[in-house]
Amino acid sequence: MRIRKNQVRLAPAEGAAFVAAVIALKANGVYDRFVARHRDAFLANPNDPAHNGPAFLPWHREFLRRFERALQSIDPSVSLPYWDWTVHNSTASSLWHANFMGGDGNGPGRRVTTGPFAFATGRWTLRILDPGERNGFLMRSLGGMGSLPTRPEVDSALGVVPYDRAPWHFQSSGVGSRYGFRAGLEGDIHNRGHMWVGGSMMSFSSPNDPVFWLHHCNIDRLWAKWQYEHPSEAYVPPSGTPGVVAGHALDDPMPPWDGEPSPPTPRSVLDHYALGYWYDTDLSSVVAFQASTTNLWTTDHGDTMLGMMAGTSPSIAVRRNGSYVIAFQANTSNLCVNDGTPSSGTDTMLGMMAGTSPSIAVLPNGSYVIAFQANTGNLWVNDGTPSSGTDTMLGMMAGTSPSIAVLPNGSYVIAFQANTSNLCVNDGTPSSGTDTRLGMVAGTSPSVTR
Amino acid sequence: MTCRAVSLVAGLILGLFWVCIIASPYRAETPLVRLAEVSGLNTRTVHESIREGSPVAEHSETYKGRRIMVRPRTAEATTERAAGEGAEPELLIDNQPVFTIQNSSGAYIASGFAFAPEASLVDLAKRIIDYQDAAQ
Repeated sequence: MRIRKNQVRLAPAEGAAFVAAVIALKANGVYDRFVARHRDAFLANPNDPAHNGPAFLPWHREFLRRFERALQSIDPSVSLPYWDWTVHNSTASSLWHANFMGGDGNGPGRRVTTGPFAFATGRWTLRILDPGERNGFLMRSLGGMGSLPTRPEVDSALGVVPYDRAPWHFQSSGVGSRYGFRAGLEGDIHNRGHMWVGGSMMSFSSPNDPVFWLHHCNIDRLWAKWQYEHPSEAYVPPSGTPGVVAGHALDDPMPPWDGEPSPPTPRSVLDHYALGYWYDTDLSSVVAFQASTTNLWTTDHGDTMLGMMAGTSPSIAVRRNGSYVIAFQANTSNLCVNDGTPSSGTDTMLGMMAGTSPSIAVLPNGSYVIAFQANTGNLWVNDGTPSSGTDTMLGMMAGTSPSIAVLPNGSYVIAFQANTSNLCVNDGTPSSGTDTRLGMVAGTSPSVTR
Repeated sequence: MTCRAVSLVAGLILGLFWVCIIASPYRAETPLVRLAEVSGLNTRTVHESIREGSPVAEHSETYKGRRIMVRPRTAEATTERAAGEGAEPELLIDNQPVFTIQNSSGAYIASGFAFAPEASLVDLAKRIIDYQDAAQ
């Protein structure tokens, strides 16, 4: 499974890897085949299999998935990022920095002259063009035509049901589409992204601008969100419905892939999880877990590239500013801390008992405290500072894990199974605490809250 | 009686004169239109020079100083496109042909302008001109 992240949350190395893979696909000719596919879909009008109809969303989901796989053939670590234009709606956004998508066009031709896709780099010459177009350089005119969709407009579009309506070939020109969700998302939301970027993004050959993929990734994310919010709303129309352009009905093979042995259909791409990816916004909460690779993962950042000790579990806590912190036992058996950023974190250099898991809580001042069973068998407390901490001198039952919670007064409480097998409570003070005299089953761990 | 006959004949002659003026295929070339183009006014002149055998009416107007023309596609232009599309109108901006195509709902889109479908070629041309203005 791959995670598709908001482009602003890409680590610098991730952004660089994405750009490098795109340029590699351009160099080997594969990129231009994708551009041609998109242009040819428009030129098939009035039988465009990709736009102006129900399959607008499934066709582009398949298109993006194939492009993402092509990128991964260059660099397996790469996933498509998305551009959330409801937030990053300025020409000053980091999206347009020279180390990512490059900047606005300038001069009469609106030629892009900065970043990795500038003509002068010699790596980004447009070869697939619309009929009559001749410019071989990437063009942009950010903000030249209209405005980007706002959050209220997107929320309004996401509230529309059903998926689509007869006559199945309209785009909406007003939020709250009477033609259904797809028509509104395509006409009112999607088109405006292309128009706002301007230049090459307005053409049949719009994938010539790599921001195409980030824009459509966001459209695909919104479709996934709509699917989640309206689970009873089916894709329509069913195959055989009169007046529907070929490829747009539920079980129609989608051109131009309809000649393949198992051609994709709208039905075959409805479940994006089954296609092997998910979005960092799919869950309203953030979950940290040990993936099947044994690395630490989060549902919003994906793979942290940090190895965990087999059989252990991470603990996550959120700060008031929305950031979070994760404590886990690394595959070195040391207690480590991470904030979701791949390949980074803090090794506390404190050894943990095999098979046990830490527990973390955020204090009112934004700092945090971690309780864990040290490799001495004692309950320890740490605040993330390497090679420091407090040994409570309280012995824990082997193989068990403590649980910590912050109290309203800013202090904290730790519950654990003592080596007497009794449930005990401690507040971080060495050699003190409360033995509840309540016996626990061997090998189990308590959970505490305020 | 004689006066009435003379009046009738004069009226018929005057009427025929105006019919000829209105139906003239050259009315687009009147100095009025050229003046409007020079001055940049959005003066609109419709000339219905319907050509024999073509259902498409020729239409021209000036928008923001730019000349928009919609006319029946010439045989040469038709040859460049797929067979059977000869009845489609051709869009020109400042006498330069613009590649256009109709989507499944009948709306027009153009080369370099795929995401702003318009019900009429003239409206599409205006949006293209708007963009070119903004991009300058």
